[in-house]
Amino acid sequence: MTDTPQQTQREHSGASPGTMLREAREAANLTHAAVGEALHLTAHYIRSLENDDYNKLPGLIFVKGYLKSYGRFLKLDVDALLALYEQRVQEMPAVKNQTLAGNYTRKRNDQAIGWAIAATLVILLGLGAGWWFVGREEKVTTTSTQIQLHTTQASTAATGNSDIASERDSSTREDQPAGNETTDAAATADSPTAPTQTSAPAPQPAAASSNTPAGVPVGQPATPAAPANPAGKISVTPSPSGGRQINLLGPGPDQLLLNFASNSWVEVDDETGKRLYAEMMHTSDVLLVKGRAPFQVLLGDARKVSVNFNDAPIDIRGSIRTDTTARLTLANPGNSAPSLAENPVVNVQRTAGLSH
Amino acid sequence: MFKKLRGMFSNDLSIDLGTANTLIYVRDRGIVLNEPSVVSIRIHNGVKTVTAVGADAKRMLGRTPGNITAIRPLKDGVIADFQVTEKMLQHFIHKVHENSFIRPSPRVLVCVPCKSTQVERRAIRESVMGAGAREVRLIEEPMAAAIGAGLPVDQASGSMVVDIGGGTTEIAIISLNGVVYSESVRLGGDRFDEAITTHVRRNYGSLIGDATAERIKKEIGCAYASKTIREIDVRGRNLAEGVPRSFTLNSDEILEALQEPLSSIVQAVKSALEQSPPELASDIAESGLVLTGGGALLRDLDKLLSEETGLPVIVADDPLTCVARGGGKAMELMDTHALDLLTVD
Repeated sequence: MTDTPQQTQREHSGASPGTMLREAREAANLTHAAVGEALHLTAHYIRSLENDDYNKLPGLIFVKGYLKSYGRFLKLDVDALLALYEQRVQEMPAVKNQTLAGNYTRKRNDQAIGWAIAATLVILLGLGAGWWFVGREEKVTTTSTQIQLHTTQASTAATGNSDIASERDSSTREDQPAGNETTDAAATADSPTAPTQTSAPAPQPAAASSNTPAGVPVGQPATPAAPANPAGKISVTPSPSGGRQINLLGPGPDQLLLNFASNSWVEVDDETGKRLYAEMMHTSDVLLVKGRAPFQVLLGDARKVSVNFNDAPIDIRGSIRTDTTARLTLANPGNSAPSLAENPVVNVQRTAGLSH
Repeated sequence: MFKKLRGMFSNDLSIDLGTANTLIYVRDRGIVLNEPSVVSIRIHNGVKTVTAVGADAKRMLGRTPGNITAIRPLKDGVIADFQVTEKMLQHFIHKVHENSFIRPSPRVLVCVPCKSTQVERRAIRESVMGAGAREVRLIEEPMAAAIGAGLPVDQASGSMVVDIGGGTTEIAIISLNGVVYSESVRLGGDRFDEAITTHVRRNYGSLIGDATAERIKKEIGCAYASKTIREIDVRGRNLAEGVPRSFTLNSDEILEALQEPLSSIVQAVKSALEQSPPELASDIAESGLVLTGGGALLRDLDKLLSEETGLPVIVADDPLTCVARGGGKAMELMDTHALDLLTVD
């Protein structure tokens, strides 16, 4: 093709790829059919190309390919032709654009969600860590207060019992918490059934102690009954037999004296069922309870305990059950001798609870 | 669960795991990696370590000392060395996530040859999973190529695509998002190189390497006789004299050398046309077939196919990246069910 200056100007100013092709073809003196045959395209495709009617052609990729081969066939500048074509396509938005991307233009927001989750996690972690540190500090303060309290009480108890402690080495036990006391009691019990008996009532004093404002550990022998018997006075002195003598001095004329020849658990309740004293007693210990009868007494190993009520010895052998426990009710009806009565209901319960 | 969380910081990838080149397309970013599928491995005290991957490793091909081997872990479009492929993919996936401080765990769409067996597909899937992907989808290469080339795959009209890769040539007829007919010929750009090497050895008594053969193919290779003859000077080791010698090759003799692999491709295309349903054959006869893949860059290959089949033949824009771009476009449908139509098990 021989380009005249006029032609070139027309091509570059407003001409379309179609007109460029048609002029070149006419200049080469070729028919649509001849071009179609050479390019293996149908004549109507050639006409569509020359008329810039791209909607009649299969798709943009094909149009571009056809233009390239047509331009090459006519020995035109293919790049210029394609540039014109691109320009043309941009001016014609209605041209078919059969690409997948055209149908699906979705913005991805997964990453935004990812960062949001990460930020939330970091904030939560920060809050958690802060809460943990604050909580820990408070706990440390509380614990130190408690430790202080314990130390004071333990030292008070130790001072009160200094003479006994020297003889019985009970001061080591005094420092032990309630749980250890139970274990200790179980380990030192004589009879094989004693551990069962002693371990069961142990939580009771602990439960009682939890109600007290001072939070005094119950297992400590010097002060166990203090919360249970706020009206009474507890004092500990050495007994003549070498053990401890625990005096429980409440208001009332009656007096109960228990001598322990062996380790035994003891519980003493007053008439209203209020717990006056509950503890593991050791060999040679003496428990003196003064108050108003009747007393309800539970002995863990009743065989080795002698009971005196208002200075009169009481035979409790009939009340000892097969598991060596005894539940006594020591009443004082008038001036007559103290009666010995069992509480059958309680007995049944205890047996059921303790014997196996 | 952590993998999913990590995935939120990773980009979705489309990988064209080719015999010659691996391309990675990242959603919203386009093609970010185009490197040769070559890994160089150093063997020291029986322990293998990867020394270089991609372009660095390709430069080592044929130039390595005894303890380093530069290998291509894929052959004929499928995995030949599972572990090395995994390492290579791991390297590439990390490379496209360079600025990420969290270990990437992307969703990956991988293009596989349409005639690959279940075993080969599973190997690819597990290799990509091993490289750190959290979800792997497979798409047939010609389908991806067609989408990448911009063919109207979702319409009820036949489109034919011929994807000439390094190891395989994939021919497929596609209509309504499905492959109607597909054929995979295990020859491609590599076979062209081999044919050139053989020709030089036979006619010049000289040995040339793969890289030189590829350079010859790119510079003067052609598929159809033309009036202009191009020439190239190459150096190879003369087999008789044992010393390097220089000689000149022209495009005509390369055309002759390439006759055998080219005729195989032409045969495969003709056979596909023979077996396509008549309605689709008519669509294809009217609109023509589309060439993609690196092989489409061979000069006048479209002319050869056009003359041989009597159909218009079109070379897609940027044919090398068609498959990866098509995979990328398909990946945009990943969150919808539309992708299920395009992918394979």
